[in-house]
Amino acid sequence: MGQAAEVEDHDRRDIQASLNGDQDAYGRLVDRYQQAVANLMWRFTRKHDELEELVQDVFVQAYFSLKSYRGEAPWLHWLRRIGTRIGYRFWKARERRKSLVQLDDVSVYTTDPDNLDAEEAAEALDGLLARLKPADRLVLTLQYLEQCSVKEIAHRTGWTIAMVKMRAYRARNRLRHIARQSGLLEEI
Amino acid sequence: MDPMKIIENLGVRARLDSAPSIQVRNEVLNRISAQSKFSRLLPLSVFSGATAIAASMVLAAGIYYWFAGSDPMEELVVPLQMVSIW
Repeated sequence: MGQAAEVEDHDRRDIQASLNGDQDAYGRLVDRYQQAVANLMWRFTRKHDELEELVQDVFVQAYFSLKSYRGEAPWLHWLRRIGTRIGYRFWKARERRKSLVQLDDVSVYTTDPDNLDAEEAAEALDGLLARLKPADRLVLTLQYLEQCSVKEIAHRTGWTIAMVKMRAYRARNRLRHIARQSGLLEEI
Repeated sequence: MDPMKIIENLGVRARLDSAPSIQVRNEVLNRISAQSKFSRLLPLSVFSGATAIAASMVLAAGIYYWFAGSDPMEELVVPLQMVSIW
């Protein structure tokens, strides 16, 4: 038996026990997947306190929706789907009161991309994508940071494939426009 | 250079950036317990509230009609009102 199947059996047992009210079993699931969920939610915020809250939101919502998990795909896929929707809602709520990263701050990073480490690159990308609308930002984030295919993006967001393609196309154009208009990235 | 190429390059590097280590087990279980209690209590309190409102409405209407209505036996003891027709 492969490791993936073994892990899935593990999850299946804990999910069943959680449905029967065993909180320790759900605690084990949280322990097992919290870092993977955190890595996803890290795409939606760069603040530690917000990250913790988002990860909690994912697991709390997953718990109360547990009956609807059919066990056809790994539990992590299901968690990522919930996480994507929670992250998107978080961006939409924050859009009304967002304070954008200054483009000058971003250009400090992007003018010398070869010397960027992973954290700086993520900060720069976050600063750029934050200038887009949440739906556009979500498509590009999933595409470039999570390496999702169009089909996978459609699955996670609940949008149609045609809608994902159209949003990705528009988002790229908007980003090009923003980059050119601000003179950002020209020197590279 | 096309900005999208730059975004792609940034994306490649940014993918290596992983989230800080977190421990949310206790917080998650506490929130689940609190919400479970709340959702168990909510239907009971809503039902009790609705019942109390309905009962007080019936009581108020009952009292009103009790005092507004006349005694059905009264008709037997009240002298017959004669109307002269000629």
